[in-house]
Amino acid sequence: MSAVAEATARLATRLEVVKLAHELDLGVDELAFLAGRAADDVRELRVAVTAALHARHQARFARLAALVGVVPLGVAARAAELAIGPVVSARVAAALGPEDAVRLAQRVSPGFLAEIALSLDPVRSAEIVRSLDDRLVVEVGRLLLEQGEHLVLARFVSVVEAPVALEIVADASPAALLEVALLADDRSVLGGLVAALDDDVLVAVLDHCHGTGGETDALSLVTSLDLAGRTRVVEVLATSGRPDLQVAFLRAVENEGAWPEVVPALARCDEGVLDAVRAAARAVGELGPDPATQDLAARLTERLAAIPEA
Amino acid sequence: MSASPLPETAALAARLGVPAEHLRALDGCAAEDVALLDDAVELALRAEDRAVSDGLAAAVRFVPRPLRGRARALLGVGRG
Repeated sequence: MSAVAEATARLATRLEVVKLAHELDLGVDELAFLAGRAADDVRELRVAVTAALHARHQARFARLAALVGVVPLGVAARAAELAIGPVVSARVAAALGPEDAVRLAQRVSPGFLAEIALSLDPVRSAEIVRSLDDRLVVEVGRLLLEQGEHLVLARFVSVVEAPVALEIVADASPAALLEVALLADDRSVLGGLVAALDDDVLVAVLDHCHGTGGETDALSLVTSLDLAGRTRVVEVLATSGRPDLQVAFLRAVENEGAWPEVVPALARCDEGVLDAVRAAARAVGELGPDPATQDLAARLTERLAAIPEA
Repeated sequence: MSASPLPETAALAARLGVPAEHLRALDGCAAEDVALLDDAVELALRAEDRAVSDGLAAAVRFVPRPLRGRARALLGVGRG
């Protein structure tokens, strides 16, 4: 397994641990003992926990859902918000048909809907969020962002159109943006977001990764993007005027063996971008005379010389 | 052949209603870590039970009074 594949596997496990901690209302550090486990095994454990929680009173939720269907919608919404509470409302929403769940969701306040979202079955959450009015999704999404509920927000962002997702995260910090992107169940949607984010926002996220020693996470994320997304990141980085970020990225690519994912992106860049990347590789050689640095610089130069012309 | 699961893993599997083989993530974990996880699951299930009892009892109050007895029976809610 290549280093980048190992880093991606470690990241996948960590993200599964975050999801399990969310289900059990624990701090991630309390589940640190799961760090070395396979992501698929942790996912299986999480699915078992989620199923146990959601299935425990399923028959009662189904009966309550049937009752909801026969009372006026306004009364059901008032009962949910004033009396039933977010956890049971989330479970009942899962027992309702999607159309009824959406109609009910549109009658409760955005604040309460954000609370419901925390306990909603992830699969059902996607069905409901897709059908909600965009303005409401943005409002609820921003509340989740304010509350630091990045896992649930990532589920929202994964299922809405890119312009809506961008509106939700317009004021997100680089750290929040990175976490939401990492936690997105469907990475295929991230390419569209990366394409639409301003250059300075992408640079800020990369700068955050660099400043917090998160280059490997960032690289795992970048390598999981579609080709257009990877190309955009490379172009933005190459023209950022930030040699420190460029050097750190190249170093991570070499150390983690991520060239198979990065070369196709470089091959799509124009000559100006490639010149900037080559200059960054040369800058590595100027970092110090020690053999390790010089060896890295030589390997980078060699790799970049082999990039085919666009 | 894999070793038998820890008693703590077996207890957690029983609580979750799954075979212990579904908890491979816990293979080789320390007994106290698995016990901590089992405690967390038990707390989460209790919190769920409490939220459900409170929520359903509250829901009944939104049912017209003549129908509340029937609603309580339907939802499995005590008079409280």
